[in-house]
Amino acid sequence: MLADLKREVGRLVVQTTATVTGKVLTADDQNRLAEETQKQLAA
Amino acid sequence: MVSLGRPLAAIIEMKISKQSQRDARQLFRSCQVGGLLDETRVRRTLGLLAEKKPRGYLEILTRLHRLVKLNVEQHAAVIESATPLSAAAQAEVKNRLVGIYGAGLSFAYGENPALIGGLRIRVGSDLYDGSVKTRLDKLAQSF
Repeated sequence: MLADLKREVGRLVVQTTATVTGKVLTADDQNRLAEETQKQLAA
Repeated sequence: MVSLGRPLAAIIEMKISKQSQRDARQLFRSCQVGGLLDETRVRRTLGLLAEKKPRGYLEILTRLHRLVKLNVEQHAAVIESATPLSAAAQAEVKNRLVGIYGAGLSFAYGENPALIGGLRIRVGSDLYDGSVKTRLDKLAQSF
């Protein structure tokens, strides 16, 4: 039961984060994230 | 329009003889220029096969189709971005991909707000995923 509760809380946290994150990311943040992926290509 | 004379599914499921597989591989190689598939040569080869109808040509066509399809998929780069990516950034990504995979890549670019942030790049079966969505999905799985 504790494990289920932990999983559910985790799911809600991630869901809320996903909803909020898209709204708070600035253009600079988006550029930085895009650059991070580009660095994966170079690695 | 050319009728194949039997249901397409039956052709796809057909067992292809080793000889036809060899022939298809040989034709496939002949369609390459400098290691890259040449569309004109593929079209010409398909036209000749359909015209000459050599023994087992349907098998050869089926196998050749599969080889070409695999090659096209391996050289297809799909770039997804959560937000619009500037032309310069797109060019940078393309250059890096050409540096890794060589010339002959086809590029498709699209915006996918569901990624939340970052890029997701797929080349053939390789995936470079720096999206926020994937990071959050991984986090969700850890609970």
